[in-house]
Amino acid sequence: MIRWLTALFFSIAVHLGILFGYSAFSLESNEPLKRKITNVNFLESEIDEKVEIKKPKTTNPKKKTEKKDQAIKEPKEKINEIENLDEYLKEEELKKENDYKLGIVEQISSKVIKDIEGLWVRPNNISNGMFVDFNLKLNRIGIIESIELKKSSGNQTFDRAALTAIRKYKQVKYIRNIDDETFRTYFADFTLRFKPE
Amino acid sequence: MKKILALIVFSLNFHADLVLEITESASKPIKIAILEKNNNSLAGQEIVEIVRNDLTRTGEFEVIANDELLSIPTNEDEVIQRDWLLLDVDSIVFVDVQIEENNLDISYSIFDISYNDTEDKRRVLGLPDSLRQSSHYVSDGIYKFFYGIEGISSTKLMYVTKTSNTHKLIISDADGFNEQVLLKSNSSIISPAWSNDAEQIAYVSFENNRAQVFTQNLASGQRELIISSKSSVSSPAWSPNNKELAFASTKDGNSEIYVINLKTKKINRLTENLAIDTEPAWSPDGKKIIFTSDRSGSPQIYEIDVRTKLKRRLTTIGNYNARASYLNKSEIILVHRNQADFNIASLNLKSRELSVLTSTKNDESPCIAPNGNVIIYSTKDGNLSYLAGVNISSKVSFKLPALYGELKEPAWSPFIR
Repeated sequence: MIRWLTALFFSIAVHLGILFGYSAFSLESNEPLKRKITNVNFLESEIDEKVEIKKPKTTNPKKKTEKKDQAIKEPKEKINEIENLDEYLKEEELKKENDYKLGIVEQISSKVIKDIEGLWVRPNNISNGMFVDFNLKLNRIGIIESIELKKSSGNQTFDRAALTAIRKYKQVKYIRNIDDETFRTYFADFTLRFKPE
Repeated sequence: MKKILALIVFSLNFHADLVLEITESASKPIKIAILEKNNNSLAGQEIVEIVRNDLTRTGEFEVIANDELLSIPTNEDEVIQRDWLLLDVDSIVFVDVQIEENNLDISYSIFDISYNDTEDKRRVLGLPDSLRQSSHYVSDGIYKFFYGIEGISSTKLMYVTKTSNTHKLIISDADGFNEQVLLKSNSSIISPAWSNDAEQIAYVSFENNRAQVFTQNLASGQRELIISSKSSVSSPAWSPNNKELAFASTKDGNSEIYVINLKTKKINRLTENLAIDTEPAWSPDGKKIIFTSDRSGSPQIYEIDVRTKLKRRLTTIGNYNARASYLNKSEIILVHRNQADFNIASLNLKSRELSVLTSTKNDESPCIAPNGNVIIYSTKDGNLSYLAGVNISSKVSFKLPALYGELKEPAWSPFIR
């Protein structure tokens, strides 16, 4: 009986041992298998890398603030750039407008010069460098309202011939269709110089 | 208040001082009408006609005919500006003629159409028999008003004519009227020249079967023999002070340029070489003489300093340049062969630019009007030779009536006062 009890005890102990051992081995063996299948190493390293990426966000507050600053600055610059762009566009617009106006002024001026050259019969007693300046004031529709001798050539016939050409011209017709500002700036009051080449 | 000020400043700052420069002028003539004022006298009509022709001949005026007018005012108050603007007329010249006993009184006014008022009033007084000459003075006054230099209608022309075997030295008005024969000869007369005070002339006559240089006082008709030589003498030219005559002569062998003092009769030889030197002409200041010489192998123009006798060649273009005279201190005119044609040309002494002025083919003996703006020359059309002219400013050419078989060597008088 004692032997049977001892044998039973040992048998139970062996079985418990086997069971324990099996359970223990079976748990251990599952792990490496699982790792092998799922390539946990790689995954772990990937996770580590991810952690490393995440780390600075969490572990390096300085870098984070710099990034924040950058993130704050960028929109401000963008806003400034946009504001500058607006100004730039405005400037460009103004420049274009100015160029356009100057183009008109140049066109009208050329026409006026051509017209008056067609009316001016210059005298024969002209010396080198001789010129006469007249100041002309026009009304809004281009009629010459006043002709003032600004600088005489010193030659009465020469001055008179120039004055006759202006009197015959009477009206600068081309300025009727220009805007008020261009008229006021350039043509309301301008100088006509007669200087034969 | 500040805004208004700012606006004023703004507008002041943005007023651009625009200066338009007129450098070219119209090449068209001044369009005028010449009308007799108040009455229609025969003398008035004649004067208006003479003035009209004088001004038209310049090429620098377009004188509108009465039958083209929309209205004919008899004085300034009757001018309807619109009518004249439609015709694009610049001015009306009103001529008022009064003849009383021995006085011819011509008043004229220049009415500017664009100004719509009288710009100028002048008066010419003369004797009734000086109607043509007085009319020419009116023309010259109008010309000067518009062009600033003296007109030449009242000047004279001198030229030589040949009909059959008769040679005549003639003086006429600048329009060819009023011819007066100064010398009539069966022998040649060449190289007539005016003194600069228009009181005397000089010419070469072969009446004694040799070339002799005479001077003649126009008022008294008195002649003086200046140079008599068995050899050739030609081209007498008065110095600007009328105290000397330059001439060409072969008296020392070949043709050279000489200057004779009219008071002392002392002769100064200027050129000395084996070539032919001829056709001298004085510079306006009397310090230099230009002449034709073939020393380079073809006739070219040279200039010599009368005092130092230093010479320089002036023409380099073409193989025939001759008969030069000064247009002014920096320009000369000459006869230039242009391929087969002989034309009158001008040469700028600074730029050496040569400009052909005439389009006729056989031009010779150019001479310059005293205002420096017209050149007259003789030219040939077949067997007929006549005087033609060109206006330097307007480039307009004109012909004088051909009344003789041969008409040559024109000489334009100085201004006659």
